[in-house]
Amino acid sequence: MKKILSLILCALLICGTACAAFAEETKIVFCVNIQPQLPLEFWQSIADRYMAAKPDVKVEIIGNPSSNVTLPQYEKTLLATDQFPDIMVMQNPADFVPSGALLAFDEGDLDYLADPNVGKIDGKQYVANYKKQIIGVFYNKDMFAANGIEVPQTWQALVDASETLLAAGIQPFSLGLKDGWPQGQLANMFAGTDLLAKDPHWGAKRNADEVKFNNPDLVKAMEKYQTICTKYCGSNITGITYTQMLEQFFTGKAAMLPIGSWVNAEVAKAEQDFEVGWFPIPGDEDANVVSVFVNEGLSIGADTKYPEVCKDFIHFFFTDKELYGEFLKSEQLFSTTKDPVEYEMIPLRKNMEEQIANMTEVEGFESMTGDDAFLPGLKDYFTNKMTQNIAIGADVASELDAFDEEWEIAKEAIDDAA
Amino acid sequence: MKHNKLHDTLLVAPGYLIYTIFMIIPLGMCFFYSFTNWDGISKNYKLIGLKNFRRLFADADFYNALKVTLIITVITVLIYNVLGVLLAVLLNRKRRACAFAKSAVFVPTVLSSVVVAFIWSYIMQTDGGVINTVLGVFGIAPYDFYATPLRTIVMISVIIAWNGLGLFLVIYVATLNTIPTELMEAAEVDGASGVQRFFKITLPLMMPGITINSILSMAGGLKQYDHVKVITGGGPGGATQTITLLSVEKAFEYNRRGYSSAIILVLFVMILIVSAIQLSITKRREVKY
Amino acid sequence: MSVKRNRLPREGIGSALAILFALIYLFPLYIAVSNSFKSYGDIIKSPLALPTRPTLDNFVEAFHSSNIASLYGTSLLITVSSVALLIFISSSAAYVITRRNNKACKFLYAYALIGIMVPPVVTLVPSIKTLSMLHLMYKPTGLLMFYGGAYFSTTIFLYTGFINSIPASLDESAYIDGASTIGIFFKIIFPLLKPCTATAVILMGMWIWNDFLNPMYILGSTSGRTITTGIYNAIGAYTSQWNLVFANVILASFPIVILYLCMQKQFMSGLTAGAVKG
Repeated sequence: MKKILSLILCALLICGTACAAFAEETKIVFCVNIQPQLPLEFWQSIADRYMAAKPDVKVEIIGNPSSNVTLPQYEKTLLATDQFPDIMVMQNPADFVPSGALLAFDEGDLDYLADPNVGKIDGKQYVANYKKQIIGVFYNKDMFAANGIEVPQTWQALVDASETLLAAGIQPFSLGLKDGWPQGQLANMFAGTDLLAKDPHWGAKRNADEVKFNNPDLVKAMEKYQTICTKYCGSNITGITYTQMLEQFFTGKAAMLPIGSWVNAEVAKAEQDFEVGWFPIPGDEDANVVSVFVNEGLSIGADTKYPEVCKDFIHFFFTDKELYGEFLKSEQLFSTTKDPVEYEMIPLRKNMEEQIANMTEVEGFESMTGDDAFLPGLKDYFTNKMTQNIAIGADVASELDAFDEEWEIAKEAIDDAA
Repeated sequence: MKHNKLHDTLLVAPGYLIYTIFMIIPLGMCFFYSFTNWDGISKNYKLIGLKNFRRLFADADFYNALKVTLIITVITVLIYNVLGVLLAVLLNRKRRACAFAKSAVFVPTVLSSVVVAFIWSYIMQTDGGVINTVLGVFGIAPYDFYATPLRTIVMISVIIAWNGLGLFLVIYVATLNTIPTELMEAAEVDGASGVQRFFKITLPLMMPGITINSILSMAGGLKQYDHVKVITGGGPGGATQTITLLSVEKAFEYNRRGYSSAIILVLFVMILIVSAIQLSITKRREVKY
Repeated sequence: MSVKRNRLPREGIGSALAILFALIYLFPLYIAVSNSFKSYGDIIKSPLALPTRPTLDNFVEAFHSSNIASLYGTSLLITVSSVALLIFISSSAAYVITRRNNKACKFLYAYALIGIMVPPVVTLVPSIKTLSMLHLMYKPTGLLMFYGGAYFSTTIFLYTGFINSIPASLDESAYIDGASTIGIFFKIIFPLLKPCTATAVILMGMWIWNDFLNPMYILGSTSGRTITTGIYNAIGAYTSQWNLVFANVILASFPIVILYLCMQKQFMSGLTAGAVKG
């Protein structure tokens, strides 16, 4: 009896110290994506500007603590522990929508966006898409010229160009697996040209189980990807980080860098002593397809106490042109608002815009949006596992079979939960 | 003798209460989830019996993670205990140089694994890392520590051992100090050689230390997370993933908390079995003096 | 006599080898320390050399990029209070369970050791659930409680081993003289535990000071960061500015290295008398 009494006593003591009253004030927590070009200070400046305009609101910035914890991973932890933010940068709503974590925007909320419907899930919009990025190949114009190489218009021409560079003792591509995600961009490019260009809504068909990952088009795309990785990326692809990839390319140790348009921000620093060009990954016949990422934007947590304040904050973000322009400029992005936002662009960025003007745009394979999006978890499988295995020489068909098996598991999990 | 029950309870209760609330209950929750299909974020989940475990034992990733974990465990356990005992015996002299060497080995132990992983990532870089710069000076081609998963795992194991050796060395030195010096002197007078003395006297008498150290090092190896996380993140393609890394990945990236918990449960049982076996082997060899 | 003459050069060689070994072992730390005093350009040019043009810029920048003083403050508060809590709860519990030779105490000992088998990352998320139920999230108190649970097993293990080596006759005679159990523990036993407490302070101090994942989630970003979390934040993994990385690394590590160097003697004697004899 005494034992029980003292146990209760201790429990009371602990609880007593714990219960502190919460002060009532309009406070919203904003979870951001901290990157080299968009450091904490940038996001803090958004919060400061908003707080200056709306003095009765307090905006608190939180962010993934390191690149070892990806943003979605961090957000899942916050959700699992009842600390989900009010507003957040969202990259893969498909992982969060099934559990009811996100608030759907009402019709008309996002009228200031050029395409408020992009990436709707079951007819509802959960993300205010704030940027458009394209993926393709940055190349060293001086090296190409010195070796008599033209911008490749077909897959075969790309292989020939790589062979020429190799023969001249130059590493054709700069690519590394160590950070886990950059190699996925090259795989996305091939999936775009060889699969999605034929069928932009292939993703929805895969989700309905009408098609398989192991199909001739994707096999072809992944075999091309494997060719580049195993033959033209130097000898230590597994040990190279993203930063080292950039270093290799910008110091002239490799001729091509297959990555996203955000690298324009590096080009803009003008630290390289050569001219940088850009081309999209060519298909078998021509180079007419470009993969576009529109998966990232701002979302509102379903449990927020202040949905209207959150919507107002998002509106503020897009309509404060100086702020939004600053955001776009950081990575030389493409704006998504109805009124195009002007900012200081580097020539290469303008050149990209001209090049893609007449091209077929498909969504980035791993980050297709809305009903085309991969089932929860599959994007991680694609970047952390499949594209890495293929890059180090695994059999393409059996890797795609394994991906199909992973799909079954993910599907079963969703059906079980329903 | 009859002791005051209230006083005993007051001394024992606070610790056990905190331990129960913040260790045992969370652990119990983890075990419970292993029988559910919880995705880690939804409010609903269902009990699905042994399904997670059936899937686990058919999962190639799990076997690979098991292999990686065992390699790390074997290498680190060997370094900790073989090198630990040898260093303890060699450095256990009253000399400044030996005291300095002992402190030197312990210093990395107080550093955080994150710090250690950062330092070594720099040293082991293929491009511009310290080791390859040195090799370059002698005209040797750079050595790629990331070329094969096995090589990377061995490298990480050595880094872990470098980081942790100090604690094991200190425990061994402490054990050595408990051996009565008369015993050694008597053996020396009897004409036993250094090697004979080591195997016949020192080693058997160090068994208590070996028991503790082998359990600590074994459990540490099986639980390995930090160093691998910072150095490779488990890549390429999950080839260097340990069991804890796999379980965290399944929970936070694949939304499979139930499955992830099942992995942990299996790991827990493994550590339990290994410790029990070890305890029974080494305890039998301990000698009283 | 001849034996002694023979020994002198051998001892010299032995000492030289020990020092050589120590220097090789510390080489990675030399790299970190020396490079933290170089500019980025100098690191690329000569990663191995001593800094020819030593600079404090890296440390200045590290100070600017994060509020180091407040980071140290939080770390110090968390580490000191957690270690104190652990020492109190586990030494008292260990005393009772080693001295009372009954089934309940044997069970309590085994029960306490369960925690040694558990990888810390595993209990984090469920712990956060219990913490938020008790309204302890985002508070140093919450982190304190978490550490109390997480390292209880290890400290119990240390203390039980040590207390076993203290003759029971000591406290039994005090008990017969009419002293209370709590009185005996605090007046007689606890002071005798000093070497073991030193061991616990070092081990727990370094684990808690260096911990990264738990404070990150439990403190969140509202109640301040610890130095390890803060520094990790500042480093990020995007940077290959090794000069700054090393400066941060050193700022985060040196207090704990100093703590160890100061308490080295007690730490060793605690281990000698304690765990290994148990």
